[in-house]
Amino acid sequence: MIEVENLSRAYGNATALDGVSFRAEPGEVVGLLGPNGAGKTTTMRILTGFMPPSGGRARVAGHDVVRDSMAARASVGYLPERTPIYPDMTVEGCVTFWAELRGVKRPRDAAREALAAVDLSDRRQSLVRNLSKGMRQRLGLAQALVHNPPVVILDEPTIGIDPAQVIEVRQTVKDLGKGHTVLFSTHILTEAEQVCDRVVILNQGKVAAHGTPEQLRKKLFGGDRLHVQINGIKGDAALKLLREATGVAAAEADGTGFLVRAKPGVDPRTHIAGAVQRAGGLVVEMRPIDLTLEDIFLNLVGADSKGGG
Amino acid sequence: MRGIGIVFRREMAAYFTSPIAYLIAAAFLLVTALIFNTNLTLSVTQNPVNVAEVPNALAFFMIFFGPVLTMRLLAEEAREGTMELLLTAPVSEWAIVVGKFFGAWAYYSLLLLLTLVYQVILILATSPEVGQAVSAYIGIWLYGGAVLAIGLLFSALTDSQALAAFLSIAVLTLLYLGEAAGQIVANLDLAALIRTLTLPGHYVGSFAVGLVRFEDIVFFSGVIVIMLYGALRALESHRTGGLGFKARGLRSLGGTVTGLAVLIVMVGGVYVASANAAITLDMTESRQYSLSSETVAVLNRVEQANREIRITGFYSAETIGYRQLDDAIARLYEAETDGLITREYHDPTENVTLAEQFNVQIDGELFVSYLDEAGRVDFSTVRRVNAENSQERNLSNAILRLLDINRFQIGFEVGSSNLDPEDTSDRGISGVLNGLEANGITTRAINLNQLGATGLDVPTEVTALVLTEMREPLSDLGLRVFQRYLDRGGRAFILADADFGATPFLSASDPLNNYLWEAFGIRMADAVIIDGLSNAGSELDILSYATSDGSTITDRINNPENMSSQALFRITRAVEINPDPPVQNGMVIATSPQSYGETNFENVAAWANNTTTGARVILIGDSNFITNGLVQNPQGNGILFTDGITWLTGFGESLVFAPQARTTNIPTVFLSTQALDTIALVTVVILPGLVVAFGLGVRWLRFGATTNWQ
Repeated sequence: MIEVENLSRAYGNATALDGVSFRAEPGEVVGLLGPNGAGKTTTMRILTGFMPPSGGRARVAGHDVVRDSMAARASVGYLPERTPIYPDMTVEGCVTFWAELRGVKRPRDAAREALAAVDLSDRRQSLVRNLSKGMRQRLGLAQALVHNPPVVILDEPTIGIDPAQVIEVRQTVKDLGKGHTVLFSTHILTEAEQVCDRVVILNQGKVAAHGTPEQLRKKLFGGDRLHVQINGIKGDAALKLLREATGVAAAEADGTGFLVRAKPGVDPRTHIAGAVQRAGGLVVEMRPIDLTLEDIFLNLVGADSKGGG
Repeated sequence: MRGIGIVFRREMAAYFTSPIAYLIAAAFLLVTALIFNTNLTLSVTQNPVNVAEVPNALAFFMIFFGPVLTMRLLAEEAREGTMELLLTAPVSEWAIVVGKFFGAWAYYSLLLLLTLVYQVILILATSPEVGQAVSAYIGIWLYGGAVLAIGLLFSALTDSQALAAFLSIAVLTLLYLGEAAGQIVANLDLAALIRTLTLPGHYVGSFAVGLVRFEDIVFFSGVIVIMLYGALRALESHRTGGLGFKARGLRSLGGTVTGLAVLIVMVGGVYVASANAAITLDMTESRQYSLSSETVAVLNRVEQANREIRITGFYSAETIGYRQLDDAIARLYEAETDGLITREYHDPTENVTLAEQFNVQIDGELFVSYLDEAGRVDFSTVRRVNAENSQERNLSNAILRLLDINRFQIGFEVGSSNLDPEDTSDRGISGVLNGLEANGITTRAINLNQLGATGLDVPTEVTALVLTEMREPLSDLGLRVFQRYLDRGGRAFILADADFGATPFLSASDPLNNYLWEAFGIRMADAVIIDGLSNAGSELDILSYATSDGSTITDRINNPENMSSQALFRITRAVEINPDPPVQNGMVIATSPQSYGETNFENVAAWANNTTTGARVILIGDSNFITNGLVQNPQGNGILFTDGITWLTGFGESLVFAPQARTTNIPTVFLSTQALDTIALVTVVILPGLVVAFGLGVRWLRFGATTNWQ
């Protein structure tokens, strides 16, 4: 459905994309991960026909995005990073307009279906300016789906909305995968993990890694990070104790508690709890830390990767 | 191009559902209504109403209305992030740009249609120049299109609506003020170029006065196309990264500049070609900007003569507006004669020497002349075009005078006195001679007595003879020469003074006087006229009281609008007219009923016309009125002589047509104060009020019913 071959893109002298290749199959949700400036948005903009590539090829639903741009554009639903809205239109009018522009036969019916799909049916006569941010995001999804495209491309759809809505959107994206090829970008690893079948990690315009979230986690990170807070044992002793516990790769002081990195493939939590208890202390808090890709690059990929970021 | 309709419909919907758009419409109507009512009130019983008043004002107000209508179009899309979606929808950028432009233009067209209410009121209240109104509306519609296209370009160049509006207003103001370039720029060519590049330069002098010129349509269409192309390239530059003015696709800049250059050259080429083709549509009822049949007849003569004629105009940068008006006519002459008549314009302040050669008197003067074999102006043939209020009549008259060069020859009989026609003193008649020469009529001295003595006749090329300052009767031989001349259809202008000598000219015993009476039914009486009413101070200084209604000689004498058009005679002999004449005859100038004389005659001058032989005679009881001292004092004296010569020779008779004025004579409005108040109430209050109410209704429907402010 999406075929990207050796794609590159330069802005003046700056290289945004440098030989990126990946594929996404029908019914697959592919996450595009990477720190800011890694080339996620550029990749998506090339796939949606917004900008031409400097080199390489990209095909969407079998259409080359350059040579067969109109057909490629017609087969893509796109939600840009900035939610596009016409504040003075009604919700339904807005979606109908996009349906018309993409050549849908019965635009108003299609708009109603799309709004029902994102649970906005009851607000279809509202003015867009009166919608909450989350609803606007759903409206953005509705316009991306209104022409029932084989490929849906979503650029950081969960940014800037409240946590409850984040969960909603993630669920919607997951559901989308059943009928569409979905490419969506994020810089939150856990989000990718929850939603995606496969993940492509971009860094400095290149594919740093790709695979299932599980594979990547193992390969890139090697283990979870934990925040541990201990009562009854002094700092240095506690640090020593943590470092010696089974399954712990490293530990360091972190404010009121400690940051513990587990060895790959091992869950060290029971070992830590046991070790603390044996030393007469008490674990008052122990929780895994959500990692952003920034963290991964900082901690695992190393300083050279960080350099140009 | 599927997208055009969709984008267009969305824009129209945006205008109709936006309360702001209704406020703009109300403001538009309010401003135009105020202008309309002011003009209407001023026109009541005073001025002719100008149907183009509202469109003319819009030419200025569109500087502000245009950007307000267009600032949103593309800047909002860029700001709200919808640009990215538009550019990834399966429609071309052209469709987006053109659809948006048509949306704005259609909205503007609707506003214009609303202002047609004023024209309807005018049609009901008076009889306006509908053709001119149609022309002005077509013009301001195209003008508005160009304004909106410029606004659209700036809306595409920035994602700030305020900045887009500000830049558009700045550029439009420059383009508007450029029309007055003549007041700022001294160089004529530069001023003309600047004028050509401005929007009003293609409206004020053409559409607004009822003249639809093809090149103006080309200009406005060209501006629209160029601006839309610019907007298209600005839109495309979103694809190459960056928004607003920063670093937007520098690499495509070269392509844009090249594209624009090609487009501008193309539009410029079509413009120049269309300007040269002079394709115009005259919308005025009086056909002001079309050649009359009389002019066409004159131009046919030009083609028969097949000599190149040059129209030379002198305009400084300040009178460049008049140049456009004059050229609108002059170029028709060029087109009608397939280039046999050409036109050339000079700046009198730049080409001082040339202006002196032409003897330019005022800024904005036109001349016609033949060209010599080398294609240069033949200065011996230069004819001045009168600067009255009808360019076409004046220009055709001048060309006719040019064609008539040397066709007419006036002989001045000088033999019987010491008359020196070249005498430039107050006594002399050099002014009259020069005036004739300036009109292409040659003059020559004729001595009838001498001709008789040598057995010769008046040369056949002499069109008319002037007998003036005669101090004694003609000799027998001289008299016979004169009689033979008149018998074969000659024309004579005879001026006889009150002469108290022993044998005065045309005394009762002068055989010539008897001949005139027998052949023409007119003769001089031995009487001096005294007029107690119509005189200039002295009862002997007779002012023309009544003028002829049987000939065209005195048509311009005693013009009630020109006090100086009376003729004045000092010590005048009466002319006797036979009421039962052998040929047509009549009075030329008569004194008032309160005049008396040695006998009861009241005629100062008379005419006679033998239609069988073609002979024509004018007899006047005074010769001094054509002397240098009196011929222009008052002007009526000169007019009498000129028109007398014209009547005698037939010079200028081939060109008689109704005046076609630069300003049309549209009827004055007659409306009661109550009617005016009603019109003001409807147009200034009710109409804009209705639009506001409509807008509020829309706002209530859309915001009120479903408001959920979050």
